[in-house]
Formats: sequence, C-alpha cells, structure tokens
Amino acid sequence: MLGFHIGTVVGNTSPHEFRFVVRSRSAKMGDLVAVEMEVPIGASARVEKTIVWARIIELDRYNPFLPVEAGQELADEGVKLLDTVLSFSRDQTEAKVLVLGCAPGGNYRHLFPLNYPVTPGAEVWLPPSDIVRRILTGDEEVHRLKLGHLVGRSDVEVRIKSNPVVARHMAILAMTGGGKTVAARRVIRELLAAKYPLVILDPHGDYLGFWSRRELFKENTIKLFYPSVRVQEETRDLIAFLVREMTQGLTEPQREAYEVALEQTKIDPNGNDVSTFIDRLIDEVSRYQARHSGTVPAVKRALRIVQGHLRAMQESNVRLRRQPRLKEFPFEPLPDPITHAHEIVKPGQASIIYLGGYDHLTQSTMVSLVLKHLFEKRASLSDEIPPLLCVVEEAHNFVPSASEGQANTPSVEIIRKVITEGRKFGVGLLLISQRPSRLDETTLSQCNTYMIFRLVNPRDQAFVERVMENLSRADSRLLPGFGPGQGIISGQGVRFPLLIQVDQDKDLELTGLADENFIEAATKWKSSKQAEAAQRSSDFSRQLDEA
Amino acid sequence: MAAGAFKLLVVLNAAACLGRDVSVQRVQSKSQITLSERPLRSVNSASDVSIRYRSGDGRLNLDDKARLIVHETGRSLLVTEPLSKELMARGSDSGLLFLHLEQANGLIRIIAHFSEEDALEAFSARRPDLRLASYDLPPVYSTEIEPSTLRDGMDTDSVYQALLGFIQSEDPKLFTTHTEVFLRAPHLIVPLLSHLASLSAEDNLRFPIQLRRLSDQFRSILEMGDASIRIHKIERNHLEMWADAERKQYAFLDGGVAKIAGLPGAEPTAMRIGVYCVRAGDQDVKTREEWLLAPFVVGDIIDKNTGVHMDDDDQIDLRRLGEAARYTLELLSALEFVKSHRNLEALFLHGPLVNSFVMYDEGEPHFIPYLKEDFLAQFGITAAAIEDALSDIPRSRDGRGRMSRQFMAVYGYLLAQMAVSSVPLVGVVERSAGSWLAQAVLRSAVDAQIIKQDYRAKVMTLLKRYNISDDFLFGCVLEEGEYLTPVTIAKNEKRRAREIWQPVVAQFSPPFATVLKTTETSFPFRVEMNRAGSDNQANVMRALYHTARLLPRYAFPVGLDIVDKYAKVPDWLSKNISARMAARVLNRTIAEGDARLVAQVRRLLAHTPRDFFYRPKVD
Repeated sequence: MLGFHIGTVVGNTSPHEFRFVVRSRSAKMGDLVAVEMEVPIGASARVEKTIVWARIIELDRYNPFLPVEAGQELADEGVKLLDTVLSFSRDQTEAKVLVLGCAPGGNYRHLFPLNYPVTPGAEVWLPPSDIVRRILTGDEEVHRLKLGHLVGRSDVEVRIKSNPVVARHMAILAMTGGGKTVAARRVIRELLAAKYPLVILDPHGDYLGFWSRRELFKENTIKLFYPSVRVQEETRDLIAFLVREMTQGLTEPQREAYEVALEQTKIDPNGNDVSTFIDRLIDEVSRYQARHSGTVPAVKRALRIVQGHLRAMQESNVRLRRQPRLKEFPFEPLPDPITHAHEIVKPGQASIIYLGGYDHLTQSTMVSLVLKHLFEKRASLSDEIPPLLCVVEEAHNFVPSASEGQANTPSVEIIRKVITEGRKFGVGLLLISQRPSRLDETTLSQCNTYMIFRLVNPRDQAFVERVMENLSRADSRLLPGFGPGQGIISGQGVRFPLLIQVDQDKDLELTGLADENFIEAATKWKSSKQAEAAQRSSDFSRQLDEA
Repeated sequence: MAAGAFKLLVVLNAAACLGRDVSVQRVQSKSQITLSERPLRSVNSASDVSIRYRSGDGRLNLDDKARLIVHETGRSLLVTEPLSKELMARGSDSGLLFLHLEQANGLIRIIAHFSEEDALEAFSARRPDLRLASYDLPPVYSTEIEPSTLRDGMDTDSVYQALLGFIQSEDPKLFTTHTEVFLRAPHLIVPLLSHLASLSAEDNLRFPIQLRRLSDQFRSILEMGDASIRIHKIERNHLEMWADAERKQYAFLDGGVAKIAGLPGAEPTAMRIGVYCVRAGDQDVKTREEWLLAPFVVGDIIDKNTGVHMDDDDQIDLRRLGEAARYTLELLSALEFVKSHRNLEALFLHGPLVNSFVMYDEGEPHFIPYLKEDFLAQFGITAAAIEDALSDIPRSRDGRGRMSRQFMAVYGYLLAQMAVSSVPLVGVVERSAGSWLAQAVLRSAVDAQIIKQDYRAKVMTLLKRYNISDDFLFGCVLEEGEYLTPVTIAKNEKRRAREIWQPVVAQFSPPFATVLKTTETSFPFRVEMNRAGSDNQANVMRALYHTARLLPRYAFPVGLDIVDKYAKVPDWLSKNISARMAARVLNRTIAEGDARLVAQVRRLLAHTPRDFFYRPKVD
C-alpha cells in the first residue's frame, strides 16, 4: 500500500520529471510522492515493477474558468466573485515533481536512477510517514543527527548522516533571520550528544548560550576561551604577516628595515605575547642602519600604532567580556594550540573561542593560528587530539571570495587546506555565512552537505545555484520564500535534497546575548562619572579660553 | 482638383456669413451656405450629401438631401434647407459654424457644429503650439483646414486633429464618437480589411462614409418617438446587478464536436453538450455550481433509414448530418435541462437559439436520416407528440408513414417547445452575419411611417452592395450598453425548404432577436430569445450585459466562455482517438458479440477517464 491516492500523472513525462493533477489540498510543496510503474529491464522485452519516488518542486493552481480580465473587472468594480456567475469550484492544482529515483520491488535501501518515463495517467500516492522515513534513510543503520522534519510533514523526521557532516564538511547558508544559527545550534547539540569534539569560532558570542545552559549538557564540557596569542617560532611568520598588514603603506626601505629587524627579534622558548614581541621588534628596528634617517622612526611609529591597535582590541575584548551579560562567564585564555592542543580539543568538549572586539584581520590571524596547528596535530597521526569539527561563523570573513579583494586574509590558506584534506584526518568544517556570494567558491564547493535557508539577494541565490551541483532551478526559486528555519538540505548527509523545517532549540535561546535592547538602554542611560568629569573639564576649559 | 477621398474642416464665422448682403441672401432665398469664395483643394461638386447637426432645441437632425456646388470660380456652396434655416434662426448669435466634411467618390458626409468664438479662443490659449491665428482662426469669414501630408512647412494635420478633437469633445453625440471609436478599434482592422477586400475598389473608398451615413440614419430612425423598435440603454452597475441577482440561477450551455478519424464507411462524430449552472451570490461552493456534460455519438442516435431510396453511390451528407445533430442536440439538451430547473432566471446558449434548418431533409442530395425512436423516447419525445405539435408532416416515400422522426420534424417540435417554455431561453451569437435586424428596423420604420418604402429599398440596396451586416452596422449605431427592442426575425423562410417540408417549416417558431453592444470597441452580438425571454427582456439583457462586461476585452458573456471551454473537445482527444485505436477497440468488443457493449464503447471513445469531467475539483 503506497499511502493516499492524491493525483494522476498528466501531460508529457520524462525520467527526470513529470506533472500530475493534484486532488484538492492533498499535497504540498516538498512532499515526497510515489508512482508505481513498470520499467523495461535488460535487452529483452521483460519488465519489472518499480516504485518511482519524486519530490514536488512546483505547485501551480489555476482556475481555467476564471479569465484574468474578469478578475480585473471584479477588482475594479468591487464585486465579489461568488456574487457573480463566475465559477469558483473548478480550480485545479498541478504539481511538477523531480524524480529522485526508483526502488524496484519496494526495496528502500537503494534508489536507482529512473531510466524510463513515468506512465501518463498513472496514479500518484502520498506515502505514509514510516515509508517516507525509510526512503529518507535507505534503511541504513548509521549514526544520524536529528535536525527537524520535512516541511509540511511534521510526522517525518529528518536525520542526516553524521559522518559526512563531520568529515566532509558542511555549509549553512542563510540571510539574517533565516535560521542558520538555529540550525547550527541543532547540529552542535546533536554532536555534543554524540560527544564529538567541537571548536567554535564565535565572532559575536552567538554560541555562549551553550555555557549558560550547560546543565543541559551534563555529559559535556563547555569551555569559553578568549584569544591569547603568543608568538612562537612556528608562528613568527604569521604574526609578522599580521603586523605587516596592519602597518599598511610601508615604503620599500621601511619594509626592508622591518624584515631585517624581524629576523633578529628573539622569541622566548615558551613564546611571548604579541605586545612584548612588538617591543622587541621595535628595539631591533632601532639598531638598523638605514640609508635614510627617516626610515627607522617611521617603522617604529608604525609598529607602535600596530601595538596600540592590538592592545586596544585586547582591551575591547576584555571590556566585552566584562559586560554585565558576560561577566559571569568563565572565559579563559585560549591554550596554546601548539603545546596545549589537547586542552582545546577533547571528546565531549565544545571549545568556544570568543573573538569579539578584534578586527577582521586579527580574527582571521587567530583563526589561522588555531586551525593550522590543530590540523597539523591531526595530520601528524600522533593521536594527540581526537577528530574534531570546527564551526566557523561568519565564514565569508575568514575565507572570502577573490572578488572581495581580500586574498591576503590569513585564514584562507588553512581553511582551503582543511577543506581539501581534512577528511583524511578527521578535521571537519562547518561553515556558516549569511553572504554566500562573498565566500570563496572553491572552498564552498568542497562542502559535501549544505543547508540553505532563506536567501533573497539575487547574487547569493545565483552563487549558491552555481556552486551546488544538485540544487535545481526549481529549488533555488524557493529560497526567497522560506520561513524561519525552513530550508533545503542536500548532499552526502541525505539521500536527496529535502525541504526541511529545523527544530528550534528554544531552551538554548537566551535573551540579552546578541539581542540587546538598545532602545531601552538609551532611555535608561545615565552618563558615567568619568564621562561627566570629561564633559565638565571640557566646559571649564572652553570658558577659560574665552576669558 | 483632386478626386477620391478627402476630409476637410471648414470653420465659418456665422455672423460674418449672415452679415454680408450677398451671403445672407443666398442663405435665405436659396438655402445656400457659402463655404469658400476661393477654390478648395480637394472639394468637388456632389449631389449626395448628408448633413448632421444639432438644432437650437437640442435635437439631432439629419439632412440627407443636401448638395455641394463648386463653381468654376472656385466658390463652394453648401445647399441645405434645414441647416440654412437653423443658421437664420440663430442669427448673429450663431458664433462659429464648424463643418466637418468627409468625401469619397461623390459621397459626402458633413457634421455641422455650432460653437462660440470664446470657446475657440480658450482652446487656442491652451494650445499655443498650434498657432491657430496663423490659420485665420477664428476666421474673418471662413477658413479651411485639410489634413495634409505635404511638406509645405504647415502642420495642418496636427491642427486638423486638434480642432476635430476640440469640437468632438463639445458634442460627442453629434459626432457619433462612439462610431469612430468602434471603427478605429485595433482589433477591427482585420475584419474591416477583409470586408473591404470583398468590395470593389471604388466601393472601398465609399464604404467608410456610407457606413457612417447609414449609421447616422439608423440612429435617427431608432430615436424617433414613434418607432416601435427603439434603443434601450443599460446602465453598468455591477454592484446593483449582482445584488439584484442574488440567489438567482443562470445556466449556460454549449456544445463541442469531435471527429473520430474514420472507420471506413462509418465515421461517427462525437459531441458533448456542456451545461454550467450557477446560483449567483450563493456562498456555499457545493450548492452554488452544477456542471453537466452529456456525450453523444451521432452514429448512435440516428436511424439509418432515410425514408427514400438511395442508390449505391448515394451517401448521407455527413457534414450536414453533423450540423443537424448539433443544432438538435443543443436545443434538446437545453429543453431537457430547463425541465428540471424551472426556476432558472435564464438559460443562455452559445450560438443561435433558432438555427436556419431548412436544408436538413431526407431527400437528395443530403439524405439526412431519422432520429432513433428509443433515443427520442429517452426524452419523452414520441412520434405522436411531434405530430400533435406540427401538422402536415410529410409522409415518407417508402410508405412507412409520416417522417415524424426526421430531423426537420424533430427540430420543429423542439422549436415549438422552446417557444412556450416558461424559462427564458436565450441564444447569443458572437458575430451576427446577415442583416435580419437592419431589415426589421426598416420594416418597422415603414410601418410606423417614419420612412418611405422607396427609402427602405434604397437602404437595402446599399446594405447588399456594401455587404453591411448587422454587426458592422449596429456596431456603429449603438453605444456601449445599448440594445434594440427585440423583434421576431424570420430565420427559416419556407420558400427555401423542399416543397414537401414547406408547411412544416412555416410552423417553425421564430425567435425574438436584438443586438447588444457591450463595449465601445467590440462588435455587438445578436441575441435571440423565446417569448419568455422577450417578456423579461430588461432583466435578461441586463444579465447578459453584465456577464459580458466581466470579460471586457472579449466582450462576451463569461458564462458562455466558461461552458465553451468546458464542453470543448480538446485536440488530444480528437487526434489521439485514431482509426487504428478505434478499430482495435471496436473489433474486440464486436467479437464479444454484445451490441450494448459496442454502443457503450463507442460512447466511451468520446468520453475518457482523462476527461476534464473526472478531474478532481475543489470541494
């Protein structure tokens, strides 16, 4: 029994798609449907019965007896259709479906490509949820992450295979409010339940809620880190690059002075913090014999500016962490990924690295540092750390597209490396972005599982269509219309693209974090003593000057 | 001077015209209005001139006895007694007199419009770009503006168009702007051109003017107080209409035909009669609408006996048989439907209510057969009932009694039922070929002594000469929302029938017919109704008009459009039911040996499960 009879195949059919007339209100967008038919097998005239599985990708509803001009006239005259002789009862709904495959003999484990068109006039069925579930999973017994349910079918859960996600990378793409954070939380929660190690790069504190709700994760450890970069021999070049990029506009002689000083600057065996490193660098620059007298002061000045910036960002990060909403959070300095990677990556642990307060370049440098060394640990096959999944929020900032003109972003190289080689060593990436068109195309195309939520920017839509080989034109047309938490999931994690409604983990939602009410804050605002003192001093000074 | 067609606008200073002794004398004593003292480029003398104008009392007048005299000196004089009197009556307060002339090969149509100098000056102030003063406007005496394509530096075409627009806006009815709008409608170009192609080259030039003149005249006739056929106006108000129509039921019927590509020697034709019945204002979707689709296979309903001897090479004229079947089945279905729906406001059919049915007899060369007795019995129609309704049904030549089941008799019987039905039965014909209504208007005008018989004959000659049918003529005569008083028309003249059938044809009930113009730019459609419809014409026509206004571009009742789509046999059904398929299926069923099964299969060939009828619908 295939379920409920919901329609009849009409028109021309092909092995890839067909149309059917839908019984009133019996099917919705994204529904999986089934058609029984016979297909030829082998070279003989033999046939075998098979069940064709398809997904509804378009639904058209029309009333052939309601001409457009009549509708216009009704609107202009302010008359209701039912008051006239126009027909209301004969509208029909026609669905277009994408063939997903066929299952000969009702064997759901394997879906084969359909190689013969569906029979015109055949009956179309809406299968019951247990059969749909079997089709979605193929009866495979593997570990799965529960993400939600099919759109319009709350009785059919969507569980994706876990291994392709953690080993072969996943991307979650959606505009702001589309549901990517909800989806990411869902994935993270499921992986925590599986005690899979997670490293979460969190520019805005979106995931700090996991610590707030740590009572829900009794089997896990939630660690909060702030960036604490130490310069070591292994990271000398990276820091040097950061510093060079931050100085901007060094002339050729100045760069030479900088490079020479860099070579000479000593680094302690246990490393130095960046500020100390820059102090030593400045000292070395002072000793440089430049041809022009202005070279050394210029370089020193630039380096002090960089030092100032970095200190300011550090202080900014501190201030953010000391805000009322975060001050109770037990942030720790990030352990050195070279020497203490095992403190960052542990089974059952989610390490959340809060990057707030740092500019893009610095964040990228930090991400590069962390990821580079974690990957090298895994690639060395030393088993120093277990396999891990790295969650990269705002991924377009860390691996931007070449067209963004930020090819020198430090994290690009390592992310590309992880995306291509990570699967061999159990280093996976979960890339999250609300501007896919700003993401590096090559990197994104290496992801094997995608969750795409609402995207309205045409560039983003076109980009996603280009990158995702199994995103059909019909599916991409759905992107602007998705509601919160609704999207398409496709890739190795699922058998075929599905419309999914992600479950919302309401217990992980926290107000106050990333949802500040600034309107209220403005009404309650009182200036601080320091601000009043500054204002008072300024007023008095002006009065004196006027006098 | 140039011959052929031209248009010209002459603007006369009426006060100046009456101010000069010579001129006023011409007007007074000779009814001559001087158009110009100098030669006018395109104007020729003409004796066939009609002038339309509005007199001081507001009435529209038509003078079709006017003449135009052009002297050798170039002086042009318009000879018109009524207009001259009007001019005299207005005296020096006449202001300006605009004369719009259209001439084609000796025919001239003039519209004379009285206006004020102030109005022209105000117009000139609004349109300084026209530089009317350079054209001597307002004129000292008279000015002529002829649209010209000559590159002489003067943009007379723009000035002509602008002035024409100005005076038309002052009196649209005088200028019958509705006629102009109709004739200039883009979709009219093709039918107009194809119509012109059927005329001689000379008549091509005259046709537009003749049409306008005839239109003016017909309008005048129809607006006469003592005309029995008058123009009725329906005010468009959907809100009121549908409020009044609440809970009233209307039905729409149409037939579709399919040919099942032939088995040799027996080429059945399938037909479907569709009915869409709707109760306006009923909010319950389940009870609001009723849909019926009745299939027929013609071969199943005919009795091959034709009542006459047929030689081996004689064949039934299948095309005529198909027509006879369609006309009969549609009317039969309509009558059958109203039997069970006595409270219908009206049943509208797509096509004539009464078809021309004089050539569907059993004789040579058509050999149209009878209808089967058991088929008629399904509808309660017996030979006895037919013979009760119609007298003098001829006997068959093979001695089998009266040909009561022959299509002619059956159709006559149905017409009799139609005539007495208490439900208004209304046929709507999209393009009204023929000139039944024009003839009816003229006939009634003669009877009411509005016109003379010789004028009627003259108009009939013109209508024939220019092939002016009712749709073109009344498309020009009527404004939007107007229709004529329904009048009986003779659709079946007995003289056209075979002699033995003439007494029966004479008993064919005629319909009451009218034309309704739905929009400014659409052809009017002919409406035929029975007595019940005629008695209730105001409601019927109002319903028809408003349902047609729901399709303003198509300008046809939307209910008929719906049922037309519903009943139409799609191409795939016609094409796909091929001879081979039909032969194979029939072969098998014939092998079964069950005649009823064979009949059923033949019906099913015209009505498959893929039919729209079986498609899921909103509940």
